[in-house]
Amino acid sequence: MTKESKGEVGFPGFERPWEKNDNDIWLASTISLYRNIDKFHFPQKLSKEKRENISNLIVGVLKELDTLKNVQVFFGNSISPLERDFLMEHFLIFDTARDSQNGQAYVTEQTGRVLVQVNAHEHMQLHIVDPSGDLEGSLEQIFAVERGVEEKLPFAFSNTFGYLTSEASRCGTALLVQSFVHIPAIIQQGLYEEEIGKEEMEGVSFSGLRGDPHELIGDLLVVKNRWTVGLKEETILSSLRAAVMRVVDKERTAREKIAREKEEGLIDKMSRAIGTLQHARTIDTKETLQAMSLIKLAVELGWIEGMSSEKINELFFDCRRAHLAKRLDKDLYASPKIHKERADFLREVFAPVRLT
Amino acid sequence: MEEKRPQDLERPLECCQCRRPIEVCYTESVGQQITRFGMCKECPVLMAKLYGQKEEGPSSATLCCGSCGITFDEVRMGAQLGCPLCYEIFSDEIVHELVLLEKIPPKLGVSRKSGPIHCGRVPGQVQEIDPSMKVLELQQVLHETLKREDYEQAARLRDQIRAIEQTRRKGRKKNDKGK
Repeated sequence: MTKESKGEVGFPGFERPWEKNDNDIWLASTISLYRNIDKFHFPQKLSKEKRENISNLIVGVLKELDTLKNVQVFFGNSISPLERDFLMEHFLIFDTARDSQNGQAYVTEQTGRVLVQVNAHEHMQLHIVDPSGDLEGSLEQIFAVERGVEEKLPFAFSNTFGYLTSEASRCGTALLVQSFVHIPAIIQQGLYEEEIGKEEMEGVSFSGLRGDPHELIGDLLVVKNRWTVGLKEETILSSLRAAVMRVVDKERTAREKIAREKEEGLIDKMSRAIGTLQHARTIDTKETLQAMSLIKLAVELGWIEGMSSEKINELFFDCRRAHLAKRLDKDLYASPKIHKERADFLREVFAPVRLT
Repeated sequence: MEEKRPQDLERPLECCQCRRPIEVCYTESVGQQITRFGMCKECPVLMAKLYGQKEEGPSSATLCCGSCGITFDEVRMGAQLGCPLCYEIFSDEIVHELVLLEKIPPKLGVSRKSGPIHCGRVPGQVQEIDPSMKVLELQQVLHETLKREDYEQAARLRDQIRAIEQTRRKGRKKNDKGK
């Protein structure tokens, strides 16, 4: 039995939507709504006391909602950096915000799919993660939560600008949708610039996990809506879906070519990736994701034994810093030992893996 | 070594004063010292350097929100808007900025004279996306998937379509009972 099956990852009573996810290319999406309560200044302009008042007000309303079950609240002054980063990793939020402050809060619920950030950039940032590709269904679910709050606390809204946010470029629908698409075959064949980098797809933009479109860590492409204002919510979803489906299609074609050609160079790279994870004594997240990307491609092509799609998808989360520290239940946060512990963990998981 | 947090590496190349892309290379030579700055072409700091502190720029330079006290120059230079009233005070300037930074669809930016730029949902509106639209969209994707002979993905899509149709049927039954 490996370590990972023993450890408790996440918080008690908090499900992991990423388990049993065997998606091959379109891995997941997140939908975020930004809202501010009417008549109040936005969080940056609020005093500490007012921020706390608003936070309590919002948390009180969220706790009463029928749409959220077993609500858990983490207040900014008591949440540890590890817990905060765990939530950010779990909900795929690549936030540039500094550490938590007084008057901030993070509200989650039982399914592990919904997170409400209170007083981060806006009074409320509602996020829902969706591993199934059902963007419309997820949007409806997050709207149900939003409507529940709105009945008690009206939102700042203008007919000209829509929902008002502290960042003018986010007003209007104040809806941000991001899809995470795994495209190792396109990248291995050197087709990224030609097939995706140059192509203009209506209403969407592409980037890597760190926001740079030329650095796709783990061959993960983030597809997100370019505009939040001047469009309807349905239009945003359908342009995004259309763009994702086109990328998925290109990736599938590239994978078919790889499966046919069984090029020695690529098999060598895959073998080396397995070797890295089986033997490394210290490894950072970036190198891990790069190696796991090739192994995931091998899994999807049926070239590997000892690893499944579900397991490798989970590992994309579990190798990250906060997930790893939480799983091993060690005080590893910001410790230099984390790279060593990661390598130890991965060596064990990847020990039975080999190319067929 | 401590891992670098992702946000440390996220910053794109932008004006040293504002958040816009660099378009002007400004070189300042004071005595022996030569300093080079990358700046955006409408940067208020650049304007002040070129034309002196007395700006001939747009009147927005002195605009200030009476509620939260923020000035539009601060907003242009990276500060966030402070309150809902900012949107009324700086209305035209915000639209100008959004068009300039390509933060609204280009067609809208060109055609807009005045009036709303928002066309999505409004508060209180129960805007459920019509399930039949969703089914149609999924069927289109299913069709493409079958053409590719990707039966695994097709099976997933079929399950999704079935699930939506079942929910619709249940919803209808409930409504009928309600009547």
